[in-house]
Amino acid sequence: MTSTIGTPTPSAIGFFLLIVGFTLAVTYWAARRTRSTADFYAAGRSVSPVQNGLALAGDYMSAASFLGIAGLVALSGYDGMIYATGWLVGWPALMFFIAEPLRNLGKFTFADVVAFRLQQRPVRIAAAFGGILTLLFYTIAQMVGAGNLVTLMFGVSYESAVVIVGVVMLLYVLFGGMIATTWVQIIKAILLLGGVTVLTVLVLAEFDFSVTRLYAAVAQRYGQAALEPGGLVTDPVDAVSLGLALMFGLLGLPHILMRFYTVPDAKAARTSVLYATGLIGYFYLIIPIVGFGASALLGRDEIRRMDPGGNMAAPMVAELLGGTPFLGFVAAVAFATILAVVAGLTLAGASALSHDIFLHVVRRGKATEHEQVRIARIATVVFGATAVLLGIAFKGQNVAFMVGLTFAVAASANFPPLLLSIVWRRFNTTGAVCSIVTGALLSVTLIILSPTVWVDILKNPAAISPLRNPAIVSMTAAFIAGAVGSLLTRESRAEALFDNEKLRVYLGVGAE
Amino acid sequence: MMLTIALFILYYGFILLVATNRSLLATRVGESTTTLGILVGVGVLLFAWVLTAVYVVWANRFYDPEVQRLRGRLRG
Repeated sequence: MTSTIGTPTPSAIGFFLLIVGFTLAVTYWAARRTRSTADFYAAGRSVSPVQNGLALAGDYMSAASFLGIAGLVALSGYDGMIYATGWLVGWPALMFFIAEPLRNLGKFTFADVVAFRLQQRPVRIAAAFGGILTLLFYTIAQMVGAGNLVTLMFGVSYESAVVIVGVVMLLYVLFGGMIATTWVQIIKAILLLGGVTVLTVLVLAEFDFSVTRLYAAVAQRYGQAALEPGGLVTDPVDAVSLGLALMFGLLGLPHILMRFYTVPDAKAARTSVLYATGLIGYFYLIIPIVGFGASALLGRDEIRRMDPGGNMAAPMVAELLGGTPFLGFVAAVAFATILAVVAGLTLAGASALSHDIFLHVVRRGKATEHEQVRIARIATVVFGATAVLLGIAFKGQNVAFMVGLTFAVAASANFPPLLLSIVWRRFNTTGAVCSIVTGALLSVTLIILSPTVWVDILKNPAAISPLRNPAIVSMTAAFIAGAVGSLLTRESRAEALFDNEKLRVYLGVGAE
Repeated sequence: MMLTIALFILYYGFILLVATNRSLLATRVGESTTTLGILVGVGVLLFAWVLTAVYVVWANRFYDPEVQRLRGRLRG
């Protein structure tokens, strides 16, 4: 059967227009309710735990993980499952360390928490720097992935794909702020989880609803090795480093952390993480079934022929088992997934620029609500336009490593100061700036010197840094820098305020 | 605190197991081709969620009432 992947089919375009149309209608509805900064940044703090759980899941599950992990399982078997587990384990950590304190201490951004009892200007600048750096890397990876995906599935030019994504996403954020973004993510989460569930059921139906039959079929075709650990995890240090990046990087992703301000209180934040963890866990539980199904039903050669990276494995299975209409649905959902994630990233980037830099650094905390919303909108356009330009600039580049880089930077530059600010009395401004700068510089430098960039991309003979993921070094260094910087200087005001801060963190006294 | 330690053991234990003792994870379960590794992988996912659920139950049952009590004392 010749595949329709790569040509725009009526069903694909139909579903695509339906989803975009519906989400833009939601944006219009949201725009009419967006007046204040609390509306624009935090959806008026009116999001329920169930809604936020869905939105968090929607913000987190990217097209890359859906297509990428299905492809990895299809081509490499069990190794894909190992990789999949790493994507979930950050969520319990987020619950235990960050979720409630963040909601109690901050207002709109994670920098609110880092700078809580410290000197605003230096800490805001540093935290915004760490946040925007993280967001930029992630955005590049998403935009390039978006361009490639849309080109592969719909046949339009790469540049048009990136521009379309940029424009639609900007409409959501610019006019609808956090309210629209939240609902787009909820819709996308429902579509994605629903679509993958149907896909999983279809795959299992081919094997009499027995996973053991499925695994047996895979083993028959590709040997028992497909069900065993392969070459992905070999060096314990590197494996733990990757695990640290995935786990603690989540706790430093600005667009995820921002979502905690949209719920009424800390208890709601706690419940929403529970729901998000359940949904995301379910997602990573069923994707390998799709991946194994792809390798058993289609064969690895066939999958590689469509895309050497394996990213078309899931759509191909959709087409095989559900026909062109179902493929069209999956393609449209993949597109919606990208839109939702990029919208979240843009809102987070805009808030770092407007709430952290403009309001607190430039204006020292004094600006009217009206001005703040206006600047937030301008920042949105700036960040969105930058995203499109970067997406086009990085055309053709292998940006898969940028996702690892994003998590490494987040784990090293954003998470350490955030945690230290919450738990350590002696933490002060110097410590905060030191840890952010150390974490950011070290993680980026080590990634450049690592095999992924130095050898594979820059074509040098041997890597200077053997670690594929620097988190174990850069995150530790950031904590140490934070400790050293704080211990070498005294900031009595910061220490004095710690007791007040504890009241707010644990009892919620004075939370916004 | 205990939950955090449990989480670390769960995940990093799994990862180190993969890195150091592949053959254990490759052992087949019973008569089928399903490997121990697959079961362990699924277990990690499920148990990670269970840990979050345990936290929520604990927090709702014990932590919140304590917070209420302390806030009441602050007011008084």
